[in-house]
Amino acid sequence: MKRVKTIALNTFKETIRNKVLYSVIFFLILILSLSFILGRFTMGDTNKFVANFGFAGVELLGVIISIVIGIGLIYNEIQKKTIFTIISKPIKRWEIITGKFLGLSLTIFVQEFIMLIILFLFIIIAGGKIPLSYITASFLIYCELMIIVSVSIFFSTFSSPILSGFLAFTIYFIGQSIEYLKDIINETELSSVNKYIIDFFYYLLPNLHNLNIKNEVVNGVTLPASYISNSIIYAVAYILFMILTSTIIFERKQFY
Amino acid sequence: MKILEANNIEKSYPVGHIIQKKFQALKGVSFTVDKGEIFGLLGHNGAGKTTFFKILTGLAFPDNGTIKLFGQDISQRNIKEKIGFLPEHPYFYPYLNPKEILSFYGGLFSIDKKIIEERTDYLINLLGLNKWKNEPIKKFSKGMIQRVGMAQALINDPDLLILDEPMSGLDPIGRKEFKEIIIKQKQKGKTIIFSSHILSDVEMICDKIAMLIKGEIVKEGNIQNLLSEGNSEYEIELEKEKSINIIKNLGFKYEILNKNIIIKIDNYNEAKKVLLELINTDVKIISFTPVKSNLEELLVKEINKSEKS
Repeated sequence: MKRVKTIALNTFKETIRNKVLYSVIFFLILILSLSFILGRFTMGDTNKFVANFGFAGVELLGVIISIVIGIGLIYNEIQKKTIFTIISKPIKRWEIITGKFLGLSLTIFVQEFIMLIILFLFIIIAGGKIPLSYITASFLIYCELMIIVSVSIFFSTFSSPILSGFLAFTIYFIGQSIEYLKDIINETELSSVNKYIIDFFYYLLPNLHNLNIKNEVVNGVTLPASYISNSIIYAVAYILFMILTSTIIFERKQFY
Repeated sequence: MKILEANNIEKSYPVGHIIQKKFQALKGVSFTVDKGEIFGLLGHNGAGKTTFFKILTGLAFPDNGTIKLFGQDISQRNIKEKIGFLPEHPYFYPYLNPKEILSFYGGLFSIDKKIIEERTDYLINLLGLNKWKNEPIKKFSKGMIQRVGMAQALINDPDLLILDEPMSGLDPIGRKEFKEIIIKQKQKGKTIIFSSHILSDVEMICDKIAMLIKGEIVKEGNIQNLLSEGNSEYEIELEKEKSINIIKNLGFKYEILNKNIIIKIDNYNEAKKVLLELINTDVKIISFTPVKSNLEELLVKEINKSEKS
Protein backbone atom coordinates (compact mmCIF):
# COMPACT_ATOMS: atom_id res chain seq x y z
CA MET A 1 0.00 0.00 0.00
CA LYS A 2 3.00 2.29 0.53
CA ARG A 3 3.65 2.43 -3.22
CA VAL A 4 -0.01 3.12 -4.02
CA LYS A 5 0.04 5.92 -1.44
CA THR A 6 3.24 7.39 -2.96
CA ILE A 7 1.73 7.43 -6.47
CA ALA A 8 -1.59 8.78 -5.15
CA LEU A 9 0.00 11.66 -3.23
CA ASN A 10 2.17 12.59 -6.19
CA THR A 11 -0.85 12.50 -8.52
CA PHE A 12 -2.72 14.73 -6.06
CA LYS A 13 0.22 17.18 -6.02
CA GLU A 14 0.31 17.10 -9.82
CA THR A 15 -3.42 17.50 -10.46
CA ILE A 16 -4.21 20.05 -7.75
CA ARG A 17 -1.94 22.51 -9.63
CA ASN A 18 -4.08 22.27 -12.75
CA LYS A 19 -5.40 25.72 -13.65
CA VAL A 20 -8.70 24.25 -14.89
CA LEU A 21 -9.67 23.72 -11.24
CA TYR A 22 -9.57 27.43 -10.48
CA SER A 23 -11.40 28.54 -13.60
CA VAL A 24 -14.12 26.02 -12.82
CA ILE A 25 -14.79 27.69 -9.44
CA PHE A 26 -15.13 31.01 -11.23
CA PHE A 27 -17.69 29.46 -13.60
CA LEU A 28 -19.64 27.96 -10.70
CA ILE A 29 -19.89 31.34 -8.98
CA LEU A 30 -21.07 32.81 -12.30
CA ILE A 31 -23.72 30.08 -12.71
CA LEU A 32 -24.92 30.48 -9.13
CA SER A 33 -25.09 34.28 -9.37
CA LEU A 34 -27.14 33.99 -12.57
CA SER A 35 -29.46 31.40 -11.04
CA PHE A 36 -29.86 33.63 -7.96
CA ILE A 37 -30.94 36.58 -10.14
CA LEU A 38 -33.17 34.44 -12.40
CA GLY A 39 -34.68 32.72 -9.36
CA ARG A 40 -36.03 36.05 -8.14
CA PHE A 41 -37.98 36.51 -11.38
CA THR A 42 -39.49 33.02 -11.49
CA MET A 43 -42.38 31.48 -9.59
CA GLY A 44 -41.52 29.26 -6.63
CA ASP A 45 -38.70 29.26 -4.13
CA THR A 46 -35.52 31.02 -5.20
CA ASN A 47 -33.46 28.65 -3.06
CA LYS A 48 -34.86 25.59 -4.90
CA PHE A 49 -34.05 27.26 -8.20
CA VAL A 50 -30.49 27.94 -7.01
CA ALA A 51 -30.19 24.36 -5.67
CA ASN A 52 -31.40 22.87 -8.98
CA PHE A 53 -29.06 24.97 -11.06
CA GLY A 54 -26.21 24.63 -8.57
CA PHE A 55 -26.27 20.84 -8.31
CA ALA A 56 -26.36 20.56 -12.09
CA GLY A 57 -23.42 23.00 -12.31
CA VAL A 58 -21.36 21.21 -9.67
CA GLU A 59 -21.96 17.89 -11.43
CA LEU A 60 -21.20 19.12 -14.95
CA LEU A 61 -18.09 21.06 -13.93
CA GLY A 62 -16.93 18.01 -11.92
CA VAL A 63 -17.40 15.83 -15.00
CA ILE A 64 -15.37 18.28 -17.10
CA ILE A 65 -12.51 18.26 -14.55
CA SER A 66 -12.59 14.47 -14.18
CA ILE A 67 -12.36 13.94 -17.92
CA VAL A 68 -9.91 16.73 -18.78
CA ILE A 69 -7.44 15.63 -16.10
CA GLY A 70 -8.19 11.90 -16.13
CA ILE A 71 -7.55 11.36 -19.86
CA GLY A 72 -3.99 12.68 -19.53
CA LEU A 73 -2.98 10.83 -16.36
CA ILE A 74 -1.40 7.72 -17.89
CA TYR A 75 -0.96 9.09 -21.42
CA ASN A 76 1.20 11.99 -20.22
CA GLU A 77 3.37 9.69 -18.11
CA ILE A 78 4.12 7.70 -21.28
CA GLN A 79 4.52 10.71 -23.59
CA LYS A 80 6.75 12.63 -21.18
CA LYS A 81 8.66 9.43 -20.33
CA THR A 82 8.30 9.90 -16.56
CA ILE A 83 6.98 6.33 -16.61
CA PHE A 84 10.52 5.04 -17.39
CA THR A 85 11.88 5.79 -13.95
CA ILE A 86 8.69 4.53 -12.26
CA ILE A 87 8.33 1.15 -14.01
CA SER A 88 12.01 0.39 -13.32
CA LYS A 89 11.27 0.56 -9.59
CA PRO A 90 9.73 -2.37 -7.64
CA ILE A 91 6.14 -1.32 -8.32
CA LYS A 92 3.38 -3.37 -9.92
CA ARG A 93 1.39 -1.85 -12.70
CA TRP A 94 -1.94 -2.17 -10.85
CA GLU A 95 -0.38 -0.09 -8.08
CA ILE A 96 0.31 2.69 -10.61
CA ILE A 97 -3.27 2.63 -11.96
CA THR A 98 -4.79 2.49 -8.47
CA GLY A 99 -2.51 5.23 -7.18
CA LYS A 100 -3.36 7.46 -10.13
CA PHE A 101 -7.08 6.85 -9.57
CA LEU A 102 -6.91 7.59 -5.83
CA GLY A 103 -4.77 10.70 -6.36
CA LEU A 104 -7.20 12.22 -8.83
CA SER A 105 -10.14 11.15 -6.65
CA LEU A 106 -8.63 13.14 -3.80
CA THR A 107 -8.24 16.20 -6.04
CA ILE A 108 -11.86 15.87 -7.22
CA PHE A 109 -12.96 15.48 -3.60
CA VAL A 110 -11.26 18.76 -2.59
CA GLN A 111 -12.67 20.50 -5.67
CA GLU A 112 -16.19 19.19 -5.12
CA PHE A 113 -16.02 20.07 -1.43
CA ILE A 114 -15.14 23.69 -2.26
CA MET A 115 -17.83 23.89 -4.95
CA LEU A 116 -20.50 22.42 -2.64
CA ILE A 117 -19.60 24.85 0.16
CA ILE A 118 -20.09 27.71 -2.32
CA LEU A 119 -23.39 26.19 -3.51
CA PHE A 120 -24.68 25.72 0.04
CA LEU A 121 -23.76 29.33 0.88
CA PHE A 122 -25.80 30.54 -2.12
CA ILE A 123 -28.77 28.35 -1.05
CA ILE A 124 -28.63 29.77 2.50
CA ILE A 125 -28.38 33.35 1.15
CA ALA A 126 -31.45 32.56 -1.02
CA GLY A 127 -33.33 31.66 2.18
CA GLY A 128 -33.06 27.89 2.00
CA LYS A 129 -31.76 25.21 4.35
CA ILE A 130 -29.32 22.36 3.81
CA PRO A 131 -31.09 19.09 4.61
CA LEU A 132 -29.19 15.82 5.00
CA SER A 133 -30.55 14.67 1.63
CA TYR A 134 -28.45 17.41 -0.05
CA ILE A 135 -25.33 15.83 1.43
CA THR A 136 -26.49 12.41 0.18
CA ALA A 137 -27.05 13.81 -3.33
CA SER A 138 -23.61 15.43 -3.19
CA PHE A 139 -22.03 12.12 -2.23
CA LEU A 140 -23.74 10.35 -5.13
CA ILE A 141 -22.47 13.07 -7.50
CA TYR A 142 -18.99 12.31 -6.15
CA CYS A 143 -19.54 8.57 -6.80
CA GLU A 144 -20.60 9.42 -10.36
CA LEU A 145 -17.45 11.49 -10.85
CA MET A 146 -15.30 8.61 -9.58
CA ILE A 147 -16.84 6.39 -12.25
CA ILE A 148 -16.01 9.05 -14.84
CA VAL A 149 -12.42 9.26 -13.51
CA SER A 150 -12.03 5.47 -13.77
CA VAL A 151 -13.43 5.50 -17.33
CA SER A 152 -11.07 8.36 -18.32
CA ILE A 153 -8.07 6.52 -16.86
CA PHE A 154 -9.14 3.39 -18.74
CA PHE A 155 -9.06 5.26 -22.07
CA SER A 156 -5.84 7.00 -21.06
CA THR A 157 -4.03 3.64 -20.97
CA PHE A 158 -4.33 3.11 -24.72
CA SER A 159 -5.55 6.16 -26.64
CA SER A 160 -4.71 9.80 -27.24
CA PRO A 161 -6.27 12.52 -25.03
CA ILE A 162 -8.54 13.82 -27.81
CA LEU A 163 -10.02 10.40 -28.55
CA SER A 164 -10.17 9.53 -24.84
CA GLY A 165 -11.97 12.81 -24.10
CA PHE A 166 -14.50 12.21 -26.86
CA LEU A 167 -15.15 8.63 -25.69
CA ALA A 168 -15.36 9.58 -22.01
CA PHE A 169 -17.89 12.39 -22.68
CA THR A 170 -19.91 10.05 -24.90
CA ILE A 171 -20.00 7.44 -22.16
CA TYR A 172 -21.05 10.09 -19.65
CA PHE A 173 -24.00 11.20 -21.80
CA ILE A 174 -25.03 7.60 -22.57
CA GLY A 175 -24.64 6.70 -18.88
CA GLN A 176 -26.93 9.57 -17.88
CA SER A 177 -29.67 8.58 -20.28
CA ILE A 178 -29.19 4.81 -20.26
CA GLU A 179 -32.52 4.08 -18.52
CA TYR A 180 -34.45 6.24 -21.01
CA LEU A 181 -32.69 4.54 -23.90
CA LYS A 182 -33.53 1.10 -22.51
CA ASP A 183 -37.19 2.11 -22.09
CA ILE A 184 -37.37 3.34 -25.69
CA ILE A 185 -35.72 0.17 -26.99
CA ASN A 186 -38.01 -2.05 -24.88
CA GLU A 187 -41.03 -0.41 -26.44
CA THR A 188 -39.84 -1.21 -29.95
CA GLU A 189 -39.96 -4.71 -31.40
CA LEU A 190 -36.50 -6.19 -31.71
CA SER A 191 -35.11 -9.61 -32.53
CA SER A 192 -33.73 -11.60 -29.61
CA VAL A 193 -30.17 -11.18 -30.95
CA ASN A 194 -30.52 -7.39 -30.97
CA LYS A 195 -32.00 -7.52 -27.48
CA TYR A 196 -28.98 -9.46 -26.26
CA ILE A 197 -26.66 -6.90 -27.83
CA ILE A 198 -28.55 -4.02 -26.20
CA ASP A 199 -28.57 -5.84 -22.86
CA PHE A 200 -24.82 -6.39 -23.17
CA PHE A 201 -24.17 -2.66 -23.61
CA TYR A 202 -26.73 -1.78 -20.94
CA TYR A 203 -24.75 -3.73 -18.38
CA LEU A 204 -21.32 -2.84 -19.78
CA LEU A 205 -21.77 0.94 -19.83
CA PRO A 206 -22.03 2.79 -16.50
CA ASN A 207 -25.55 3.45 -15.30
CA LEU A 208 -25.17 7.01 -14.05
CA HIS A 209 -28.91 7.59 -14.00
CA ASN A 210 -29.22 5.75 -10.66
CA LEU A 211 -26.67 8.07 -9.07
CA ASN A 212 -28.54 11.17 -10.15
CA ILE A 213 -30.97 12.08 -7.35
CA LYS A 214 -30.62 15.87 -7.61
CA ASN A 215 -34.20 16.57 -8.72
CA GLU A 216 -35.70 14.26 -6.09
CA VAL A 217 -33.83 15.84 -3.14
CA VAL A 218 -34.47 19.43 -4.28
CA ASN A 219 -38.20 18.65 -4.57
CA GLY A 220 -38.24 16.96 -1.17
CA VAL A 221 -38.82 13.37 -2.41
CA THR A 222 -37.51 10.86 0.11
CA LEU A 223 -35.61 7.96 -1.37
CA PRO A 224 -35.30 4.63 0.49
CA ALA A 225 -31.95 3.97 2.15
CA SER A 226 -31.64 0.70 0.18
CA TYR A 227 -31.73 2.70 -3.09
CA ILE A 228 -28.85 4.89 -1.90
CA SER A 229 -26.78 1.96 -0.61
CA ASN A 230 -27.36 -0.07 -3.81
CA SER A 231 -26.28 2.92 -5.90
CA ILE A 232 -23.08 3.25 -3.87
CA ILE A 233 -22.35 -0.51 -4.13
CA TYR A 234 -22.91 -0.30 -7.91
CA ALA A 235 -20.50 2.67 -8.19
CA VAL A 236 -17.77 0.87 -6.20
CA ALA A 237 -18.20 -2.32 -8.26
CA TYR A 238 -18.05 -0.40 -11.55
CA ILE A 239 -14.92 1.51 -10.47
CA LEU A 240 -13.20 -1.76 -9.49
CA PHE A 241 -14.18 -3.24 -12.86
CA MET A 242 -12.68 -0.25 -14.70
CA ILE A 243 -9.46 -0.31 -12.64
CA LEU A 244 -9.11 -4.03 -13.28
CA THR A 245 -9.68 -3.60 -17.03
CA SER A 246 -7.23 -0.67 -17.17
CA THR A 247 -4.64 -2.77 -15.33
CA ILE A 248 -5.03 -5.69 -17.77
CA ILE A 249 -4.33 -3.32 -20.69
CA PHE A 250 -1.51 -1.51 -18.89
CA GLU A 251 0.16 -4.81 -17.87
CA ARG A 252 0.75 -5.62 -21.55
CA LYS A 253 2.02 -2.18 -22.45
CA GLN A 254 5.64 -1.87 -23.55
CA PHE A 255 7.51 1.40 -23.68
CA TYR A 256 9.79 1.87 -26.67
CA MET B 1 29.14 -14.53 -8.93
CA LYS B 2 27.07 -13.71 -12.01
CA ILE B 3 24.92 -10.62 -11.57
CA LEU B 4 23.51 -10.62 -15.10
CA GLU B 5 23.04 -13.56 -17.42
CA ALA B 6 21.47 -12.67 -20.78
CA ASN B 7 20.77 -15.66 -22.93
CA ASN B 8 19.76 -15.36 -26.59
CA ILE B 9 17.64 -12.23 -26.21
CA GLU B 10 15.59 -11.32 -29.24
CA LYS B 11 13.38 -8.30 -29.53
CA SER B 12 11.55 -6.61 -32.36
CA TYR B 13 9.08 -3.76 -32.30
CA PRO B 14 6.79 -2.03 -34.78
CA VAL B 15 7.99 1.13 -36.52
CA GLY B 16 5.98 3.56 -38.66
CA HIS B 17 2.51 4.99 -38.15
CA ILE B 18 0.10 3.90 -40.83
CA ILE B 19 2.01 1.03 -42.41
CA GLN B 20 3.88 -0.65 -39.59
CA LYS B 21 7.00 -2.71 -40.12
CA LYS B 22 8.82 -4.84 -37.61
CA PHE B 23 12.29 -3.70 -36.64
CA GLN B 24 14.48 -6.33 -35.03
CA ALA B 25 16.42 -4.45 -32.37
CA LEU B 26 18.08 -7.45 -30.70
CA LYS B 27 19.12 -10.64 -32.50
CA GLY B 28 20.08 -13.26 -29.95
CA VAL B 29 22.08 -11.19 -27.47
CA SER B 30 23.98 -13.23 -24.87
CA PHE B 31 26.55 -12.10 -22.33
CA THR B 32 27.24 -12.16 -18.62
CA VAL B 33 28.34 -9.59 -16.07
CA ASP B 34 30.14 -10.53 -12.86
CA LYS B 35 29.72 -8.97 -9.44
CA GLY B 36 31.78 -5.82 -8.89
CA GLU B 37 32.43 -5.19 -12.58
CA ILE B 38 32.02 -2.00 -14.54
CA PHE B 39 30.57 -3.25 -17.80
CA GLY B 40 30.27 -1.04 -20.88
CA LEU B 41 27.72 -1.74 -23.58
CA LEU B 42 28.89 0.00 -26.74
CA GLY B 43 27.37 0.49 -30.13
CA HIS B 44 26.21 2.99 -32.71
CA ASN B 45 22.85 4.79 -32.52
CA GLY B 46 20.07 2.26 -32.96
CA ALA B 47 22.34 -0.69 -32.14
CA GLY B 48 19.90 -1.94 -29.49
CA LYS B 49 21.57 -0.74 -26.27
CA THR B 50 18.55 1.18 -24.96
CA THR B 51 16.20 -1.65 -25.96
CA PHE B 52 18.34 -4.04 -23.94
CA PHE B 53 18.22 -1.72 -20.91
CA LYS B 54 14.45 -1.40 -21.28
CA ILE B 55 14.12 -5.18 -21.14
CA LEU B 56 16.37 -5.28 -18.08
CA THR B 57 14.19 -2.77 -16.25
CA GLY B 58 10.77 -4.14 -17.22
CA LEU B 59 9.84 -1.41 -19.71
CA ALA B 60 9.75 -3.93 -22.56
CA PHE B 61 9.52 -7.71 -22.74
CA PRO B 62 11.82 -9.97 -24.79
CA ASP B 63 10.33 -11.94 -27.70
CA ASN B 64 12.73 -14.78 -26.99
CA GLY B 65 15.48 -15.67 -24.55
CA THR B 66 15.93 -15.25 -20.84
CA ILE B 67 17.60 -12.75 -18.55
CA LYS B 68 18.58 -13.52 -15.01
CA LEU B 69 19.56 -10.85 -12.52
CA PHE B 70 21.08 -12.00 -9.23
CA GLY B 71 20.23 -15.56 -10.35
CA GLN B 72 16.49 -14.83 -10.64
CA ASP B 73 14.28 -14.27 -13.67
CA ILE B 74 13.77 -10.55 -14.39
CA SER B 75 9.99 -10.85 -13.99
CA GLN B 76 10.44 -11.14 -10.20
CA ARG B 77 9.58 -7.79 -8.63
CA ASN B 78 11.92 -8.16 -5.64
CA ILE B 79 14.91 -7.97 -8.02
CA LYS B 80 14.08 -4.35 -8.71
CA GLU B 81 14.71 -3.53 -5.04
CA LYS B 82 18.41 -4.04 -5.85
CA ILE B 83 18.51 -2.09 -9.13
CA GLY B 84 19.11 1.57 -9.86
CA PHE B 85 18.30 2.84 -13.36
CA LEU B 86 19.16 6.09 -15.09
CA PRO B 87 17.43 6.24 -18.49
CA GLU B 88 18.80 8.18 -21.44
CA HIS B 89 17.38 11.73 -21.19
CA PRO B 90 15.54 11.26 -17.90
CA TYR B 91 12.29 13.17 -17.37
CA PHE B 92 10.80 14.15 -14.05
CA TYR B 93 7.69 15.92 -12.82
CA PRO B 94 8.55 19.57 -13.50
CA TYR B 95 6.77 20.94 -10.43
CA LEU B 96 8.81 18.85 -7.94
CA ASN B 97 12.16 19.87 -6.49
CA PRO B 98 15.10 17.42 -6.12
CA LYS B 99 14.19 16.65 -2.49
CA GLU B 100 10.58 15.84 -3.41
CA ILE B 101 11.70 13.77 -6.41
CA LEU B 102 14.04 11.66 -4.30
CA SER B 103 11.40 11.24 -1.62
CA PHE B 104 8.88 10.15 -4.32
CA TYR B 105 11.22 7.54 -5.84
CA GLY B 106 12.32 6.38 -2.39
CA GLY B 107 8.65 5.78 -1.59
CA LEU B 108 8.47 3.17 -4.36
CA PHE B 109 10.96 0.94 -2.51
CA SER B 110 10.48 -1.09 0.65
CA ILE B 111 12.78 1.24 2.53
CA ASP B 112 12.16 2.93 5.85
CA LYS B 113 11.17 6.60 5.55
CA LYS B 114 14.03 7.69 7.81
CA ILE B 115 16.61 5.91 5.62
CA ILE B 116 15.12 7.58 2.52
CA GLU B 117 15.52 10.99 4.19
CA GLU B 118 19.15 10.22 5.06
CA ARG B 119 19.88 8.95 1.53
CA THR B 120 18.19 12.03 0.06
CA ASP B 121 20.43 14.40 2.02
CA TYR B 122 23.52 12.32 1.18
CA LEU B 123 22.75 12.19 -2.57
CA ILE B 124 21.86 15.88 -2.78
CA ASN B 125 25.33 16.63 -1.39
CA LEU B 126 27.07 13.99 -3.50
CA LEU B 127 25.59 15.30 -6.75
CA GLY B 128 26.09 18.96 -5.95
CA LEU B 129 22.37 19.75 -5.79
CA ASN B 130 22.42 21.48 -2.42
CA LYS B 131 21.95 24.97 -3.80
CA TRP B 132 18.95 23.92 -5.87
CA LYS B 133 17.36 21.32 -3.61
CA ASN B 134 14.21 23.42 -3.10
CA GLU B 135 13.90 24.68 -6.69
CA PRO B 136 11.35 23.08 -9.06
CA ILE B 137 13.04 20.97 -11.69
CA LYS B 138 11.45 22.91 -14.56
CA LYS B 139 14.15 25.55 -13.96
CA PHE B 140 16.99 23.03 -14.34
CA SER B 141 19.49 22.68 -17.20
CA LYS B 142 20.04 19.32 -18.94
CA GLY B 143 23.14 18.63 -16.88
CA MET B 144 21.32 19.37 -13.63
CA ILE B 145 18.47 17.03 -14.61
CA GLN B 146 21.08 14.37 -15.32
CA ARG B 147 22.40 14.83 -11.78
CA VAL B 148 18.89 14.39 -10.36
CA GLY B 149 18.59 11.31 -12.58
CA MET B 150 21.75 9.83 -11.09
CA ALA B 151 20.51 10.65 -7.57
CA GLN B 152 17.19 8.82 -8.12
CA ALA B 153 19.10 5.84 -9.53
CA LEU B 154 21.13 5.67 -6.30
CA ILE B 155 18.27 6.29 -3.83
CA ASN B 156 17.99 2.60 -2.86
CA ASP B 157 21.79 2.10 -2.65
CA PRO B 158 21.49 -0.44 -5.50
CA ASP B 159 23.67 -3.50 -5.97
CA LEU B 160 23.32 -3.12 -9.73
CA LEU B 161 23.42 0.29 -11.37
CA ILE B 162 22.15 0.50 -14.97
CA LEU B 163 23.11 3.75 -16.67
CA ASP B 164 22.00 4.60 -20.21
CA GLU B 165 24.26 7.37 -21.55
CA PRO B 166 24.96 8.79 -18.07
CA MET B 167 27.45 11.43 -19.29
CA SER B 168 25.00 12.93 -21.77
CA GLY B 169 24.46 16.65 -21.22
CA LEU B 170 27.20 16.96 -18.61
CA ASP B 171 30.04 19.48 -18.67
CA PRO B 172 33.64 18.20 -18.15
CA ILE B 173 33.39 18.70 -14.36
CA GLY B 174 30.11 16.80 -14.28
CA ARG B 175 31.62 13.98 -16.34
CA LYS B 176 34.56 13.74 -13.96
CA GLU B 177 32.23 13.64 -10.94
CA PHE B 178 30.04 10.96 -12.54
CA LYS B 179 33.11 8.84 -13.29
CA GLU B 180 34.20 9.18 -9.67
CA ILE B 181 30.75 8.13 -8.47
CA ILE B 182 30.79 5.07 -10.75
CA ILE B 183 34.28 4.07 -9.55
CA LYS B 184 33.22 4.62 -5.93
CA GLN B 185 30.25 2.30 -6.48
CA LYS B 186 32.60 -0.37 -7.81
CA GLN B 187 34.85 0.07 -4.76
CA LYS B 188 31.78 -0.59 -2.61
CA GLY B 189 31.35 -3.93 -4.41
CA LYS B 190 28.47 -2.78 -6.62
CA THR B 191 28.07 -3.75 -10.27
CA ILE B 192 27.63 -1.13 -12.98
CA ILE B 193 26.38 -1.61 -16.53
CA PHE B 194 26.41 1.43 -18.72
CA SER B 195 26.34 2.65 -22.28
CA SER B 196 28.11 5.75 -23.50
CA HIS B 197 29.04 7.48 -26.72
CA ILE B 198 32.03 9.01 -24.98
CA LEU B 199 34.35 6.07 -25.56
CA SER B 200 37.34 7.60 -23.80
CA ASP B 201 35.28 7.47 -20.59
CA VAL B 202 34.40 3.84 -21.21
CA GLU B 203 38.06 3.01 -21.84
CA MET B 204 39.04 4.75 -18.66
CA ILE B 205 36.64 3.10 -16.20
CA CYS B 206 35.30 -0.17 -17.67
CA ASP B 207 36.59 -3.62 -16.79
CA LYS B 208 34.68 -5.39 -19.53
CA ILE B 209 32.79 -4.34 -22.62
CA ALA B 210 30.44 -5.78 -25.19
CA MET B 211 30.04 -4.27 -28.65
CA LEU B 212 26.47 -4.36 -29.87
CA ILE B 213 26.15 -3.75 -33.58
CA LYS B 214 22.82 -4.01 -35.40
CA GLY B 215 21.38 -5.98 -32.51
CA GLU B 216 24.21 -8.51 -32.25
CA ILE B 217 27.14 -8.78 -29.87
CA VAL B 218 30.20 -8.75 -32.12
CA LYS B 219 32.91 -8.48 -29.47
CA GLU B 220 32.93 -9.05 -25.76
CA GLY B 221 35.58 -9.30 -23.11
CA ASN B 222 38.22 -7.63 -20.99
CA ILE B 223 38.88 -4.14 -22.30
CA GLN B 224 42.70 -4.39 -22.18
CA ASN B 225 42.69 -7.70 -24.08
CA LEU B 226 40.42 -6.28 -26.76
CA LEU B 227 42.57 -3.18 -27.17
CA SER B 228 45.83 -5.13 -27.40
CA GLU B 229 44.29 -7.35 -30.13
CA GLY B 230 44.49 -4.50 -32.60
CA ASN B 231 47.77 -3.06 -31.34
CA SER B 232 50.17 -3.88 -34.21
CA GLU B 233 51.39 -0.66 -35.78
CA TYR B 234 54.58 1.27 -34.96
CA GLU B 235 55.59 4.73 -36.06
CA ILE B 236 59.16 6.10 -36.46
CA GLU B 237 59.36 9.85 -36.85
CA LEU B 238 62.48 11.25 -38.58
CA GLU B 239 63.76 14.60 -39.70
CA LYS B 240 62.95 14.95 -43.42
CA GLU B 241 66.36 16.26 -44.44
CA LYS B 242 68.76 13.44 -45.43
CA SER B 243 66.17 10.70 -44.69
CA ILE B 244 63.90 10.74 -47.73
CA ASN B 245 66.16 8.65 -49.97
CA ILE B 246 66.86 6.08 -47.24
CA ILE B 247 63.17 5.67 -46.53
CA LYS B 248 62.28 5.20 -50.18
CA ASN B 249 64.79 2.33 -50.29
CA LEU B 250 63.26 0.68 -47.19
CA GLY B 251 59.92 0.20 -48.96
CA PHE B 252 57.56 0.95 -46.01
CA LYS B 253 54.52 3.23 -45.96
CA TYR B 254 55.41 6.76 -44.95
CA GLU B 255 53.76 10.12 -44.44
CA ILE B 256 55.50 13.45 -45.09
CA LEU B 257 54.77 16.20 -42.58
CA ASN B 258 56.13 19.77 -42.71
CA LYS B 259 59.71 19.10 -41.58
CA ASN B 260 59.43 15.43 -40.60
CA ILE B 261 58.58 12.06 -42.04
CA ILE B 262 56.67 9.26 -40.29
CA ILE B 263 57.35 5.64 -41.30
CA LYS B 264 54.53 3.19 -40.49
CA ILE B 265 55.50 -0.45 -39.86
CA ASP B 266 52.95 -3.07 -38.82
CA ASN B 267 55.36 -5.59 -37.26
CA TYR B 268 57.44 -5.16 -34.10
CA ASN B 269 60.54 -7.10 -35.34
CA GLU B 270 60.61 -5.19 -38.63
CA ALA B 271 60.23 -1.91 -36.76
CA LYS B 272 63.14 -2.85 -34.46
CA LYS B 273 65.33 -3.77 -37.43
CA VAL B 274 64.60 -0.49 -39.24
CA LEU B 275 65.25 1.48 -36.10
CA LEU B 276 68.67 -0.15 -35.63
CA GLU B 277 69.56 0.56 -39.25
CA LEU B 278 68.57 4.20 -38.89
CA ILE B 279 70.64 4.63 -35.72
CA ASN B 280 73.74 3.81 -37.77
CA THR B 281 73.03 6.60 -40.27
CA ASP B 282 73.22 10.34 -39.71
CA VAL B 283 69.41 10.69 -39.91
CA LYS B 284 67.92 12.40 -36.87
CA ILE B 285 65.32 10.17 -35.12
CA ILE B 286 62.57 12.19 -33.41
CA SER B 287 60.47 9.37 -31.93
CA PHE B 288 59.55 5.68 -31.96
CA THR B 289 55.92 5.04 -30.97
CA PRO B 290 53.82 1.90 -30.76
CA VAL B 291 50.40 3.00 -32.07
CA LYS B 292 47.83 1.87 -29.55
CA SER B 293 44.41 1.33 -31.03
CA ASN B 294 41.59 2.80 -28.97
CA LEU B 295 37.99 1.80 -28.47
CA GLU B 296 36.77 4.27 -31.04
CA GLU B 297 38.93 2.70 -33.75
CA LEU B 298 37.94 -0.76 -32.62
CA LEU B 299 34.24 0.13 -32.71
CA VAL B 300 34.48 1.85 -36.10
CA LYS B 301 36.37 -1.18 -37.45
CA GLU B 302 33.62 -3.53 -36.23
CA ILE B 303 30.87 -1.28 -37.60
CA ASN B 304 32.58 -1.16 -41.00
CA LYS B 305 33.02 -4.92 -40.93
CA SER B 306 29.33 -5.33 -40.21
CA GLU B 307 28.37 -2.88 -43.00
CA LYS B 308 30.44 -4.88 -45.51
CA SER B 309 28.97 -8.22 -44.44
